[in-house]
Amino acid sequence: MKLVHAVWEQRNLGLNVYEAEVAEDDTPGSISAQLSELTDADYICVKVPIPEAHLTPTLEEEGLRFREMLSTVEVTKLPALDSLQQRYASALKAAPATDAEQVETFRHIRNGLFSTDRYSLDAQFTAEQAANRYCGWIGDELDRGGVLHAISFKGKFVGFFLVRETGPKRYSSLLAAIFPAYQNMGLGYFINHMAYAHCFSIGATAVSTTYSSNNLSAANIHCHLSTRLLSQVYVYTKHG
Amino acid sequence: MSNLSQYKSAFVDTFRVPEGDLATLAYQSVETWDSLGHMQLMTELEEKFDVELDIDDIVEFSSFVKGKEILGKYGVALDG
Repeated sequence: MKLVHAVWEQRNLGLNVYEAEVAEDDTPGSISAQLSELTDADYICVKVPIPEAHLTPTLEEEGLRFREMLSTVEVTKLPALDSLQQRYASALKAAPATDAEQVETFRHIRNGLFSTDRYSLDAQFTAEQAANRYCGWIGDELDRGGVLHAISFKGKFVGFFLVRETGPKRYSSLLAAIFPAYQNMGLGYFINHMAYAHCFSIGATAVSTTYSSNNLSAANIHCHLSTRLLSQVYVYTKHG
Repeated sequence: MSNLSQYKSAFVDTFRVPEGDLATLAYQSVETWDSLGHMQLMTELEEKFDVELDIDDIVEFSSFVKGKEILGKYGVALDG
């Protein structure tokens, strides 16, 4: 397994965390041996690419539990908006978030904006830990060159998206959300469409994104928008 | 087909729900009524009734019942 000591999670979760990904040459024996060495782990997260799915029973025997499947998709061309969608989209604007909008975004996250990730759904994590992880991750992505965009709908700040260049003409749409007061208005599809469209407008030829199987609405949107599926991984975790 | 029948069929076809569930149907009350489903429904209704919905009405279209009231503003009678 490719093993990483996720030291940044000490800041986010206050825990000693290891993250691993099962590799092609792994065997049940090699996985068990590596996991047994992680005696100081508070939390272990192991990702299993679909081609290695035959090794998931080993993780279950080692006490890890299935949490979600992460799908990564790529968009090279967006579906055209129909006339009604164009009308709706015309009321939406995106611009790099101001400091005040960034603070407002973090406030919404700390108030429980996200609920379908494996941390929010895990009863052994507090809501504060799950929120901390998002805020820490966003901060890390901004340090790596990511840009947080504020989305306004008819002039009101309704949500955000976060994108980052990952290679020549390649971008990743990392996170997008609508604030609670503006959910149930049909905006979810558009904020994701806007994130992709923004990347294409600044030179991207391919934009990728990763979503959880625990978020059916996101899966539906990305299924509609994406050009192809790049990868899928099962995620297993264990608390120390 | 009456306006009401067409209205009901738009929901049944878009959200794959039984007609008997329509009276209490609301945004996010079924998995298929998400942002994508919402736009599909709005497009379907605009085509069926030859109307152009205002953005505020698309935002306010939060349930099967509320939708009747909104379409009434466009002269679409749905009471029979």
